[in-house]
Amino acid sequence: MVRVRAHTTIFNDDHQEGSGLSTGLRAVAPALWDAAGVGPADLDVLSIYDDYPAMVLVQLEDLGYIKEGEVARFVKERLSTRRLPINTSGGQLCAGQAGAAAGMHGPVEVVRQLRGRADDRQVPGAALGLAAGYGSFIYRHASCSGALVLEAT
Amino acid sequence: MTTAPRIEICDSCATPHFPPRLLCRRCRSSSWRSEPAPSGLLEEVTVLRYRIGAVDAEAPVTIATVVTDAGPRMLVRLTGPAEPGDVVALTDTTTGIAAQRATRPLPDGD
Repeated sequence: MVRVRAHTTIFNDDHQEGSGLSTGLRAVAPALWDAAGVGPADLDVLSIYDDYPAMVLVQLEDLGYIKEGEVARFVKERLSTRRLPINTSGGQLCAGQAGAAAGMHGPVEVVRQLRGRADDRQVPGAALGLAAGYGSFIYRHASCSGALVLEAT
Repeated sequence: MTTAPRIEICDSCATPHFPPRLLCRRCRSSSWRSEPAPSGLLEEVTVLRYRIGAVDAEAPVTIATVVTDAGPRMLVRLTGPAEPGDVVALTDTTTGIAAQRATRPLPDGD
């Protein structure tokens, strides 16, 4: 079984006046981790909405995985080495952005991982996972952010 | 004769909005007056060097973000040389908002 441990969503928090290089997740991440009772380092597997590669890094920064100004180091040490299991299905960058179904791509993969049904891409012992999303383009950048912390029970 | 793009001003609290909204972002009122936004400050510039599906796909197009004098930011097409920090004049066209560096005193609007 998989249980929702915490969830959050926020809509158009900056009224399109920001740079587009941060998302609403930045505002709601502290409350999300608080409600989940865990922090970024405790999660075993992540799905981060990847309509563009850069937006994965932006969301990871907003969620607290990347310290300010350390994106390059994060990519080198944790992504290119695969030390952080992220978008283990290959993500939308492999599957395509499937219209309205695209938002479910990440949660489905995290649920599969937590059920131990991710075949040869299974993260051993995955017990806690996160799925984050970002979309709904209004004018200058997207407006809607959401995140789910899921746990195997 | 050119027409400036317009922004919506909340009747209740005077918060300016662009693009138009159903409700005021500050006080939730739905009553507006409209004002011309004839100029602004050029903030960022991006050159699009390829546009998928366009007839002249490889003709560069320069888009920019302008902070209007009234406050809200607009996405515009630059029709002449201009750099961040320049004051630009805004024109509403059938293909979106165009901007060029202001070279003479700006009109009041429409």
